Amino acid sequence: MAVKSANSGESFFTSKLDAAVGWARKYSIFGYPFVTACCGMEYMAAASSHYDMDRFGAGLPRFSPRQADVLFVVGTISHKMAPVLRRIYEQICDPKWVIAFGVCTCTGGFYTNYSTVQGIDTIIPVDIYIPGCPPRPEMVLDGLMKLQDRIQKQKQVY
Amino acid sequence: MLMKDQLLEQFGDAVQVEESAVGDEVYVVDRTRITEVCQFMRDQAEPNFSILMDLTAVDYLKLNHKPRFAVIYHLFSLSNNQRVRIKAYVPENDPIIASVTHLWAGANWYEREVWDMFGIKFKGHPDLRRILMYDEFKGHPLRKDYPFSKRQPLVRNDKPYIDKEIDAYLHRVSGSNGTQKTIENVPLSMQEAMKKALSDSGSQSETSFLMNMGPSHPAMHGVIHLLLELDGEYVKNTDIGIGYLHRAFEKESEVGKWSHVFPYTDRLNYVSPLINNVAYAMAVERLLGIDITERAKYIRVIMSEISRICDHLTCVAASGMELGAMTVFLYLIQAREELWSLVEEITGARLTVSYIRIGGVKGDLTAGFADRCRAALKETRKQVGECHKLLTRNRIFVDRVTGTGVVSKEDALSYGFTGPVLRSTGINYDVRKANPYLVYDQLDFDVPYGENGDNFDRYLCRLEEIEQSCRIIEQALEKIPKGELNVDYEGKILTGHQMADSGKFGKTKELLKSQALTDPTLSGNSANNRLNIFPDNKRVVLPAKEQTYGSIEGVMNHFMLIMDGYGIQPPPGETYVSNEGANGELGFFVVSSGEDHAYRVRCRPPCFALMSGFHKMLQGDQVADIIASFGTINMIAGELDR
Repeated sequence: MAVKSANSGESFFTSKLDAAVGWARKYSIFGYPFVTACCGMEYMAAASSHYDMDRFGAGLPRFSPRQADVLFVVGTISHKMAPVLRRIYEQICDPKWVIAFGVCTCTGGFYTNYSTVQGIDTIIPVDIYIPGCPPRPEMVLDGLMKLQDRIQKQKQVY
Repeated sequence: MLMKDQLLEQFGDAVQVEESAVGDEVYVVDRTRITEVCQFMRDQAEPNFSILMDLTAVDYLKLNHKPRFAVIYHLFSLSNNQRVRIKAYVPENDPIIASVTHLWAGANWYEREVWDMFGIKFKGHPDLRRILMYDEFKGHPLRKDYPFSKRQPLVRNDKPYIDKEIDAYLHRVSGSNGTQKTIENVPLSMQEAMKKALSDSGSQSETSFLMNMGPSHPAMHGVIHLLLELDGEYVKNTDIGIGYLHRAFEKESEVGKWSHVFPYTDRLNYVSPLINNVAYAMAVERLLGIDITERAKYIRVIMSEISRICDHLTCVAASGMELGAMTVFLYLIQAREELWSLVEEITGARLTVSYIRIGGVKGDLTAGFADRCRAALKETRKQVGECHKLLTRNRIFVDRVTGTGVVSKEDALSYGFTGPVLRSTGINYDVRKANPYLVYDQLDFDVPYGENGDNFDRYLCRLEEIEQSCRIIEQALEKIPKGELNVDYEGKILTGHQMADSGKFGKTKELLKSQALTDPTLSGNSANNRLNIFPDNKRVVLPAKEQTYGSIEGVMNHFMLIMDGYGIQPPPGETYVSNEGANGELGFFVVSSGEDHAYRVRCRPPCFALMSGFHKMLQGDQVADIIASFGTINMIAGELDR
């Protein structure tokens, strides 16, 4: 709530600490793109100038899990890859969020065979699911905004 | 002297000629003499077959063939562009055959793959271990008796995250979380095996140490695991681990019908999916013995070349970015967006298009496509020009790519390299010129090639190929036979989905007379126009939507192609067809048992050969050069691991 001080003319505002921290966090997303497959092409498209993910404060990919707070799992995860994904997730410091990018990561997609993990939520928890094979950049941005909503509203951990 | 006579004279009864209905040259060789035959083919035969293009196997269990397995060798002669297939049967109770790794270094990985997928052992192979699957995996998945979806997970949860929201929320609030459980079965065995492979090669000294790179690494755009043996900054030896994106393309292809393979081919080389579509369609068409219409051929060429440009743009963009040239990345991706909007206009999808059909293409080019295409090419040339300005004489870039990642001609041939990487060494082999397919023989274009085989040559080759592809598209747009496109018929134009809707509501009376506008959702041209892009073959081609919704014959025809047990049924046979993918020769070896689904589909991915010789390129380079070399190779995990 913004209030204008009568005496000095300076303005200030009041808020809940959780909401303020959430607001800050949602606009400074450091993503870790765990890119394995085709969806990576649309991730590239969404991240570069045409669709410009930077507008949402999520333009800086960090390739070290220690520096990231949102794990973008982009592309099919095979059983051979699963332990790697799990380890990367565990290396990210709290608070952390996971976006399942593309239908393979949501459910396994149309790969129902012996080698494919049937949805990464059998390995790690997922916050936002973006289906599509691959999802269009518009869908990616929509998913990102949904995540921002979620970050804003959640109980913050300090 | 014909190849057949030479072989029969040299080996007598040990070699038999197999009749191929589609005209492939096939020899069945006694498995005990396979190395002799291969050696003869490579060194003494006239012409000699210097490249082992592919090595794979087929499990004939369901055809009740004895012996059960066949190991297949595809040889290619550079001197007269001849292709030969050699087959050696291997029985189930003694699945062993001699290795040919001493003849072609590229056989090493192919044989490992056959061992991994089929359980056929190669006697004399230096390092026979799994390649696509992990060591903990039991069984050989491409055997016909391995269940399609029997999974062997490495990470097991007691329960899946059913209520994910609560679970995730609790985790944040209190830190109590299912994932805190220890990781079971991290595949350390693979790491151990890789270490052992390095130490067996005997190059390790006291000063050297091992370092992992990947499978998740910022500069590895694609999941690959390098175990490097370093002496300071210098790479002494490398072992490469692949298979992290193994999605069982070949097993999936055996399950669906012939047409159901297209979506999976899109995801092999996902940077240029249209080329994969075309290659697979050509293989099935060869089995069926059908020819496609001239216009469809031109459309395929145009779409393939657009894909090739996208592929090269992505490769140069990504490798530029990894070397610090972010601007180039943004420019080239912008050009790719222009081309993708063209692709989307025609196919209905940006990336995973499934546009090619057996017998033709999904829909015709849209009205005004040629102009928009020329405009997009102009934009592409502009951006490539920017790239030249930014990189080609940029001291930092040139210093990093010149003289690094060098591969010699001999190594390139021995490992079965194709595409820009082979051409960068000075060997001018391009499938479009060597075995012209579609209408490439009617188009005027050059194939650029380098001389040093280093990263800079590969970079220049790719940029020049973009220009040549632009030329091809421009000529094809001029030469393409005219089709009556999107013509107004008695003032009535329907889009495909409107037509389908009115059909569903029984308003079929007008449909036969009216003409649909080409629409991404349905190939709703009139029956006459369809003849421009599809052959008149009811056993292969789906009828036009207005026929399906408007006449009983159309419904029946549609039905017969869609129902289980019917549909496209190529006569029993085998064939190998290749085309020039953006990274090299992309081949499909398809086996039909006469049913409505493929018996076996084998993809010969260009990247596989490239990566099997990648360690040669790295030897003696510094760690930082790995990034440049990996970039210009343009490994695509989707087709590498399939």
